[in-house]
Amino acid sequence: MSAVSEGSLLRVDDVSKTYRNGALETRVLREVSFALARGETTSLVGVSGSGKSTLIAVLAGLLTPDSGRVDFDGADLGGLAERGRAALRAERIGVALQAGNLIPFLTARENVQLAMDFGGRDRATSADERLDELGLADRRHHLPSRLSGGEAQRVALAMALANDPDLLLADEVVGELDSATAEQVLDVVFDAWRERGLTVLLVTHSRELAQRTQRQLRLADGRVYTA
Amino acid sequence: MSAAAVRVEDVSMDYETPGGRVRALDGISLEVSAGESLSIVGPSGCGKSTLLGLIGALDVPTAGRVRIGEDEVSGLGERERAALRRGVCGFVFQADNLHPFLTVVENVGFQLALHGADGGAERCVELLVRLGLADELGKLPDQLSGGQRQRVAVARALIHRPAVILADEPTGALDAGNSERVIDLVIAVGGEIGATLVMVTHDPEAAARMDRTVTLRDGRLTTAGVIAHAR
Repeated sequence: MSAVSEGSLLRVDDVSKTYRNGALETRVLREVSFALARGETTSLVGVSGSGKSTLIAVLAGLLTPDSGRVDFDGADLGGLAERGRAALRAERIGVALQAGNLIPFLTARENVQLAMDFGGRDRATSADERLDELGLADRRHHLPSRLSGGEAQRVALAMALANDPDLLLADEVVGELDSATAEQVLDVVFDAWRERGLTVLLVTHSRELAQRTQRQLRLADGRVYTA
Repeated sequence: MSAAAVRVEDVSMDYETPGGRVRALDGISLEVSAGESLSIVGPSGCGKSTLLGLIGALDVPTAGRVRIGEDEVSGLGERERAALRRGVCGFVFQADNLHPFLTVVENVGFQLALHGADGGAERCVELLVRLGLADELGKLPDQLSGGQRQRVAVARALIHRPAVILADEPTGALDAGNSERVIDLVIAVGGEIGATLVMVTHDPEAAARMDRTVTLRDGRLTTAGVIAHAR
């Protein structure tokens, strides 16, 4: 499947990644190709261990593939220095992970502020306003250990969305939440999509959740298929 | 002659658990002088980390008072405590808690950014080079060894020149060589900035490097456990 799209924000072409541990080789990604259209929501479904997190890391420029290329808005990630990729992550690609990556000795507000400090963009929205939007106004000064799972996940999303990114990569962001809380967290993602024209890649093991996005992809045996 | 940097006065801490109320700390009093280093040892579950969290203003006690310098931490709200922690405290935990998407320099630099300090990059680089990380500045945490990651965490804890460094099992995940190196660096750089150091540890060698050791057992300080180390 070679995806060629005029309006694509992200393009993945023939990306392969193999992990080597001594004599053991695990081919995690095999000639993966797909594209994400600007302003579109896409889900990527795969069982655990199928390489979803590896793919997210490659898309975010955190991991270099063995072969193939990833273009973000026309720029080859492999051609950028680490500094350039870091700037891209800080300003244009928001990454939200399952467990969040909250710093334990910083409050919710400080964690969001931290994400903002790394974006070079002018922002109309403050950390407090960002938290307020996500229903966390009374949690601003709480440490991560004092937040519920759903609250911590919303703070992680607030961090991912802090700099008004063009692309949100959400890796199992509702994986460990009960369905009501998961719904709240997903509302945050889809509200951002509607209001800001965000491009969203929602990585999940849940087929039900995947139905909420406009397009569905499936990752199996290291290959990406159109579901 | 040195003033107390940390004063814990008759502090108790209770937790609500599904099985009922549990007393984690029971009537603890201790003082740490400015520039002094103290290790807190004791069996797992004795309340060491709870006590460290109170000293670092991460939490407030159920009863009693905690002072850092002139500030009575136990009387502050969440927001004021956050401001106090940013300005006065530096934390190192067993897990390095580095942000996976930020480079080594960025992981350290954000501590300064939170203070609104500009031009911190040079200071970060200077400290990281000092900690033996000159070749790792632009790398991501995943590309570092465990010992290197913990040294980055040390840099992050010290970059804003905190008055009090709080370390919870900082060598718990490291081998002997890396443990010694991390402790050496915390003592050396902490000493230069005149910081007070409070460290919770299971590691007798790390504990012996501090000026003084206190032992906690079942939420109480044991009287026999106060050890002043010859330096």
